[in-house]
Amino acid sequence: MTTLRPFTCMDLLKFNNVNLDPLTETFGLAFYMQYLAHWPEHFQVAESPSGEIMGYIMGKAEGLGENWHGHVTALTVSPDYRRLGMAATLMSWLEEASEKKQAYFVDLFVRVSNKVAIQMYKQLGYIIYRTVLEYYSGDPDEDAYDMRKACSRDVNKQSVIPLTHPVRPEDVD
Amino acid sequence: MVEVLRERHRSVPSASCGQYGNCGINMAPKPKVSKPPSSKTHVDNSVGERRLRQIYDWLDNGNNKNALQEAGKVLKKQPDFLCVKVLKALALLRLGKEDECHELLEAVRKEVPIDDQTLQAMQICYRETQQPNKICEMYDAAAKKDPTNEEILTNLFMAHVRLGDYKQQQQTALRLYKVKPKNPYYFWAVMSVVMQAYHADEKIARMVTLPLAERMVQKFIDEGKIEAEQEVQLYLLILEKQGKFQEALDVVEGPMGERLISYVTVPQKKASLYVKLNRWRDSIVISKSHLRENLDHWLSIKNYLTSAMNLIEEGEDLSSSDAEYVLWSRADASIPQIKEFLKLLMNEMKRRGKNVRGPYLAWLELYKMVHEKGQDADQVVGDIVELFVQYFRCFGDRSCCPLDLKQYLPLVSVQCRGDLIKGIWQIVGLEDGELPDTVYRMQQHISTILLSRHLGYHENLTSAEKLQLTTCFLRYFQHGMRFNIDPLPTDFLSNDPYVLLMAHLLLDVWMETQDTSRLLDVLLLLEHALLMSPSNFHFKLLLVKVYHLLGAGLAAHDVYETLDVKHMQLDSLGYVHCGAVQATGQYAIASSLYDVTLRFFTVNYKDSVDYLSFTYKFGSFMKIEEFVEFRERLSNSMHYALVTVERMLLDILQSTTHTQMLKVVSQMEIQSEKDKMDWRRFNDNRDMSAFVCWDPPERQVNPELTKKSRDADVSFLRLRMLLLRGLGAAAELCNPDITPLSEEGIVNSSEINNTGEPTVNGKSLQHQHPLVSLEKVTSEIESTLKSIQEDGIKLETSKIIGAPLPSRLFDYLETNSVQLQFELFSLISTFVKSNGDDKVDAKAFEEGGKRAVKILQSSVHSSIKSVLEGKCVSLNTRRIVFERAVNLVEMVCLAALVCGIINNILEPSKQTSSKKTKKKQKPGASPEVVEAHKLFVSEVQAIATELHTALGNLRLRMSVEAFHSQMPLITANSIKDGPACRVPAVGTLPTIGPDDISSLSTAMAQLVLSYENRKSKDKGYSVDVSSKLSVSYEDSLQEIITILQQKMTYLDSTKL
Repeated sequence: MTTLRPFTCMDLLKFNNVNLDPLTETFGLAFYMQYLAHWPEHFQVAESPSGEIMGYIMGKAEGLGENWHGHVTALTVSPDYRRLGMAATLMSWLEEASEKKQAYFVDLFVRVSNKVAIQMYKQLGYIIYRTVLEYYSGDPDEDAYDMRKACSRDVNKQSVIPLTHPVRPEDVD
Repeated sequence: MVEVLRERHRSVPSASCGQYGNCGINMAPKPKVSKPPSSKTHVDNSVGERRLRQIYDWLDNGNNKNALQEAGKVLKKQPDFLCVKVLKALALLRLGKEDECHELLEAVRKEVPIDDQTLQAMQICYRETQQPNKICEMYDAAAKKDPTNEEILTNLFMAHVRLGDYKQQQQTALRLYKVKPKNPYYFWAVMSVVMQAYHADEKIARMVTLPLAERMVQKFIDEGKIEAEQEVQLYLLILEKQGKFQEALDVVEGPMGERLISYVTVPQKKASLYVKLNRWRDSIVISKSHLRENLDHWLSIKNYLTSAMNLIEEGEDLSSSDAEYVLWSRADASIPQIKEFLKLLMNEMKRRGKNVRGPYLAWLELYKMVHEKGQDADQVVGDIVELFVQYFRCFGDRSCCPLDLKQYLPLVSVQCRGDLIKGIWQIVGLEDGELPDTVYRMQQHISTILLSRHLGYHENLTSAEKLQLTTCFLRYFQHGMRFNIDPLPTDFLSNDPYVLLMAHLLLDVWMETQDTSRLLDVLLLLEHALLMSPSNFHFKLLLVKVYHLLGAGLAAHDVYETLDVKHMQLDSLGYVHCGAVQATGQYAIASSLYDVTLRFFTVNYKDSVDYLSFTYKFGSFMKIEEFVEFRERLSNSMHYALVTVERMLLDILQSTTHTQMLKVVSQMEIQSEKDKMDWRRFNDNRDMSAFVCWDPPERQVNPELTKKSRDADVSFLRLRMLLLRGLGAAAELCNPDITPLSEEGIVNSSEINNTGEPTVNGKSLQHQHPLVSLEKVTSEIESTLKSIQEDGIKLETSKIIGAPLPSRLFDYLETNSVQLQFELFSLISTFVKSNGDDKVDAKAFEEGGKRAVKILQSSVHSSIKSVLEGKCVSLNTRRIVFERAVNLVEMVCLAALVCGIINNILEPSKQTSSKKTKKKQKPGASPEVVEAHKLFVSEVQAIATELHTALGNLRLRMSVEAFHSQMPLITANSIKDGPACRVPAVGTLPTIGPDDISSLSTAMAQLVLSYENRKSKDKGYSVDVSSKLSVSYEDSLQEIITILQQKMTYLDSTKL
């Protein structure tokens, strides 16, 4: 179902069916709390009719001037609730919230190897804005795509003109 | 350490808070680089600034020695440089020189610094020494000296937030507002009042506190001062808490509602307020308008149905309003009208060409509501089977299907269940024994099977039939592999559910027949399935459980590690592994798990308080209560308490010498007298929904089971805490500086001062005399044990897959370990009292020793006979064998520790003659006491030796065990096809011959063979189940025996 509600701390105790998924990172508590404290409306959970967590989105709003944008920090859907368009619903929430905050664009980082996710974001209207070299630490480090979609405030779609050169993580604000 | 310095920047993103930081200005705390604050202090020379930066850098990099040196140099030139003094104190602290640190810090504090730089540095020191109240005092003093300093007052406010002192928060916020009349400060005060209500008595909250908060906001509204969305949100919160829904609705609908910009859920808020106000018509209309935008909006469907049903209840006159509304906006007030609307939703969905679950489930939801009202829902709403079929037709191939339908299955009467399965089976359209030709069909097949299992269709099958069904599913599974082309290792395979079904069926058979081969089958099956679908955590969770059922802690741990359980999950999932792994004697693994878990709790408790202050800063008022509640939930976690106690006990019990034991105990903070535990407050944070299971409702985890298993764990925890406190007090008795109780005067239990602390001769004792503590603990052990035995918690969980393993309480009670503890602690008391006294007490001491020995002896004897020897043959009881061995060895450990303690107290009196330097001449022990002690030690030794021999024998027996002989399933012989496949309730099962059972084995073997080559690909992850078990058993026994041997040496050293 597409009813979303704000993510609460208590969800952290029962999100295992989503977070045991290997591509879903379980962050330290402080990280979640930072988001809940600062951008509570950007952190939403989709609950099934039977009360289970189907997925959630965690994001924020940041940047100065024309860089003021919505950012997707984490997006995940439980293996049991895939192929239902949940991710699109969650994304459109964050886009709408970003619109309300008058952001210029929404962006996100994704592993270059995560073909499924990249394809999905493309379908939702995101473009590869730039490559961030060795953004994900691991063995070996992996590059990230910085993907973007312009909001209505960016009338001339200035924010989604792809960069021709990759950047280093330290150059990403 | 680096982290802490960085907190400097985190904790104060901007001291003066003109706005809530959500308005385009990035106030995200960025703990990236640690730079000293810009120079706005009295340090105006750039040299000082540069050197200060250098000290910060050293500290940040953990180079405390250099920081100390540098600080020393600077202070030589500028002895009044307060900030440097504090940094020097910090360096000292981190170098372990706590006293010097305090001294220096105290000197600075007395000067009442008011510059931010110094105050921040002091704050770090106080935090690292865990003195948050000092931070308050410090800022309080600074604020008195410089009463108009906004920054200091802000920090003072945050310091109160950290302590949760809401009254002080309120006052400080109002002071701030007076200094700088900015809205956020005023609303900090309002929120502080709301938080007072949170902790206050409900009546006071409603009558006094919340109305005060409301008036405070009202004043601002009247003066037209409301600025931000957050302020409106807080106002709504206050109104709703008082049940003033109409007022809240007025706010949402009025001009202030326009401020709710980021509040995307405003329409939802309205709808929920309508429901709360019983304004059904409005609720229906608004829900309909939401649904028009989003046909799948489940909350609106629920709101709509609830409201319409209520409207019917109120006997709304139908005819009058009908004409006024078109279908989308009519306030439906009859079942036909509701049905009409639901049909409209369906049609609209078809028109828009997008199938969503909501409208289908809406029918079932309506059916449920009508049914619950006691009406004939089949008559009124429609045929239930048809409603299920309607959903299944569209979503039967999605994994959400059985999850969605589960909650409506109880609506299907027993007579209709067959029809239901038949109905959906027709959609699947497979002939008996026909294998699915597409992935969609296979998934529909899976949904059907899961639903039929949940309806109980597997319950009445015989074991043989279940095995046959397993074979059947194995064929489906193997067939289904063709639908996974180039599967991603991070995705589940589409045919994975068959594996869990097979595993659950095999577990059923094991429960019925107690044939361990079936458990081994489960392991084999899951291990192989995991190779093919390495990300399926359901396989992993079940593997952990089954390995534990077989007492194989090490093997369970290997799988558990692949789950990558961390952070919050340590609390919510730790229960599947931690206790059980220790019960198999895997002490090293248990210790490291405990350490990781404890680190999580301590670090996060500190961190989360920072985020609490952030909520004020960002005006996220809605989250404050939630954060506070959550922090309490974590700090009162039962798992946390259990892990803490077990970690400490492990350390004590594992110490190899008496001196080491004393050292270990002295480093712990065992607060015996202050421990006034409220056992009810422990929170059960276990996530038991993690295990997926399609067993019928009576075999699912239920609230009663959850409560009982929690109660059992809490009882265990209580006993373990008492043991810990007892050991702490007993160890303290060995302290040579302890004055005999008689010299100090006996603590009179009636002499309790008004703070509740016991006193001696009217003087408050900082610490209770250890003997008093010990006697208290001893009597508490007795009473607690009695009450637990009276409660007699009984728990039958073996048939419930998601249930936690039986609490360690049960075997703990079975071994009489607690009775032994009681006798051992009493023995120490008797001994301490009799040391140097007359023979009567020597007699009492001797008898006490005998009682303890008797308990230990009989427990060890009977356990060797009935468990270690009697039960080790079957793998079914392997878990119990290990748990018993662990408990017995612990009992011997305890006896050995007590021998060491008594010996230690005897020792100085023995040596007094030779050591002239001894100040206090303790009276020597009587020879009778010495003799009695010797006898006690030698008897404990004898028991230890006996246990050691028994464990050695056990090890020998286990080392020659060959599981493959019990496990014909993995010997790959001829491979033939399984029997025809029929789903229960659809077709009847064919008759079973003995061949069918072995064909299961051969089919399994085929499974093994066909994926044998994958084994080498998978970085050394072995699926050799039998060797995993053997290795695990050997490893556990090794650890258990080592501990016992250490204690035997320990005992040798306690001989006089």
